[in-house]
Amino acid sequence: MLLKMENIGKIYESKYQRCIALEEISLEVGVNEFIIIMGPSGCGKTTLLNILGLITSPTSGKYTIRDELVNNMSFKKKANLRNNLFGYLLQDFALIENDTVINNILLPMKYSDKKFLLKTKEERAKGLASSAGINTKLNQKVKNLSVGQRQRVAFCRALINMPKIILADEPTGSLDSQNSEELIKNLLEFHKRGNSVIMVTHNLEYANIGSRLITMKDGHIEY
Amino acid sequence: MKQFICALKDCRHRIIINILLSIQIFIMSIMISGITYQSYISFKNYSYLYKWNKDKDSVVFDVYINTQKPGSFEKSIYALQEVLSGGEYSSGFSFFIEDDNIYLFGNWQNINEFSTIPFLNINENEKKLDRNIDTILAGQSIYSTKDKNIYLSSSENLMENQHLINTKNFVQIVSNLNLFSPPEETVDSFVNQINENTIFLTIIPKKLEIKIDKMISDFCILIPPICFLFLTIIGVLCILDGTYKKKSREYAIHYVVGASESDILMRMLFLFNIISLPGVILTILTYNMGKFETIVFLQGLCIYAILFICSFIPSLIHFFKNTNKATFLRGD
Repeated sequence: MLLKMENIGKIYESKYQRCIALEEISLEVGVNEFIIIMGPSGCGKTTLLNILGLITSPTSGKYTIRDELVNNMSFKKKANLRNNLFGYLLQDFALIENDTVINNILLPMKYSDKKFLLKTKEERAKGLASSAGINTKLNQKVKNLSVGQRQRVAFCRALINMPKIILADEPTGSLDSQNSEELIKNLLEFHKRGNSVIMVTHNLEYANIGSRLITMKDGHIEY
Repeated sequence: MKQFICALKDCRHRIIINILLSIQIFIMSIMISGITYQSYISFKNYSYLYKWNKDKDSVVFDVYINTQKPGSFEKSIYALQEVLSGGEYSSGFSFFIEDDNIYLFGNWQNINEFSTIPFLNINENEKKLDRNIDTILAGQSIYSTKDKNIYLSSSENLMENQHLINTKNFVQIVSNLNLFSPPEETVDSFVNQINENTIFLTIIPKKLEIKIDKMISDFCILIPPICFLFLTIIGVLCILDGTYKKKSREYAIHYVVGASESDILMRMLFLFNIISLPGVILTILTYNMGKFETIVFLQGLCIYAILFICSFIPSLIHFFKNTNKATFLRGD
């Protein structure tokens, strides 16, 4: 099993309030799965995705990646897993606006423990950009790109380290139908190559494109 | 290295502000170094002198120089000779420093202990050797600030070799003059002779105890530089806080794609150093015209530590207290 969660809970606590975001979540993600997570706003979808992607830690429960317990992992090891195992796609693309397209695409490679030659890195980035149709924009700043182009840059960045899993948090949320279709097509293609995708979405159209659908409500998995 | 480059990029839009802040830190450090260094050296010497000569009722002199009235000091040299090495009363010492050498004057017969003289740390054998010298003084001495060794290589009477004494050295001798339990009339006579014969110089005698008390109150002049330091701390704090907030989304993106907590922390630390270190380093390098002084280095280190504790740590705590890694990706 690639990822395994057992009775995961997450509570956000502040001085004035206590919010239970996730409660007793158990989930298993195998190799070559396409999981769609749906549910109303505030039900804990993004929190679940953040815990899966090691961006945040659970308050309780056990989370294992390739049979290794995450709770015992060092910060460095977690950072390595974020870098090598996962690719991220977010609703607003999470790109560095003032930097160039090529630098954005290459960003995960800067933190990779594998040493690449600069030429190899650039060739790989150019290859991905070319297949996404943004090879002419490589030296442009992200802030000058259209929404569709940004989405492609984000996708190239997610793929640059050849991850095994893509975590997508409402990736089509700010895209028009044409760009959304294109993105879903790319994700399906990534899945076909033997990788896994976990996608959070509100769009019912995409409910059936995955191999599994998870519906969440009030911090629980409904079914 | 990559975090250093990122930190450089973080502050490239604030180059002017950073340069101005470095200048502010530089001026502040120079002010603090200048005042504290001079005051510290004088205070240390006088305190030492007082410690060993409590019962001797020492007299020192405040010296005022009038550059508008140039004149010679030759006539006054005899008055100095009288109190230092000749005459009925001669119990005191003085010195001047030139080219890392200390030239020491005094009548050793009337000075019982070498330890009565600040900065002088001669071992027992040397003490015996020099006890035989009737009138000291002289010596081309090798002076090292580190271990405070003085080597008296000869015993010629410098006061008679007047060609070695120029106006600058003469002022030093008078400024550094310490008389042990002098009779009142000797002091009056000496002061009158110096003030009358040396028109560019006015001296006022002062009891050592009073002088030290005044020096303590003189440390009040440190208040403006301390206010300046406070303003600098606020400046650095505001710049760091603003940059960290502005860059929080970028930090989050780096974190998500593989940066660890220590990478982010390192980047923040580099940013702090890029803002605060140039001013401090510039002070250490330029103060005393490039000569390395331990005390200036320590002062620079203190200023850096104060900025680190009062600016960097609060802005870091503020950043991490108000920023949740899971949510700071969402907002700009």
